Amino acid sequence: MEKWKKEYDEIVVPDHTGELMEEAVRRAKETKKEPGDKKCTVISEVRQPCSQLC
Amino acid sequence: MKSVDKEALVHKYLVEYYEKYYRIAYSYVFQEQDALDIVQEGAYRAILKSDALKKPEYADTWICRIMMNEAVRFLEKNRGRTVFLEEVPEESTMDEPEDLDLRQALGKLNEEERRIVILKYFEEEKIRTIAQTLDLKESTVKSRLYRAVEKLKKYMEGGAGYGEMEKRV
Repeated sequence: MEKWKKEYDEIVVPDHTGELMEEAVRRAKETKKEPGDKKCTVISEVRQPCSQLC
Repeated sequence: MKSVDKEALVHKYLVEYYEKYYRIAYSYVFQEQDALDIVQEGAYRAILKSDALKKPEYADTWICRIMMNEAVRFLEKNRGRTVFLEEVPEESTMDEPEDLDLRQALGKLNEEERRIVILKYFEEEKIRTIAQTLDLKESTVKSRLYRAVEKLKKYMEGGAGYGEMEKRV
């Protein structure tokens, strides 16, 4: 097991891994912030004012 | 703990221990770009689901579990393109003692055994923590760890009784 542990510890982590993680975190936070009523927004865009329908 | 605090905690761990999460991911795919894809997707999911973190003291292992799940999802999704661990060609026969490298050794284990071995021997987590992480009893973790080690020993000694490779779970 020691040999494999050594091999595991020697896995080289690319320099930009941290930046990519930060980017993923930023994307996730933005996704969370987005309002969940996108459909309503679309519907409201399509909907015509009552005055035009009547 | 408030949602915003959970999110901040998960963020902190992701930034602080990204090397650990990368190694876990890499030990599934053994490809740099694939491992990077996994940790990015894992980090994304961890933040999205940070509300689901029940015990802040296990935030680190909770993220490990997400990364492992993501790695398995990645392998399933890319079946055909990615070489599965157990598909690594073996040069030696089962009658001869094997000198397995990390990839081959992990390839001998099923998914659950692999998780336990990585967490226990490579990440040096306590049995209790592993049990919490994988939602198993401590006794179950111990017995599966024992089984995994015995399986690897048998391979190293010549593979008697282990002619069939374990299927992924």
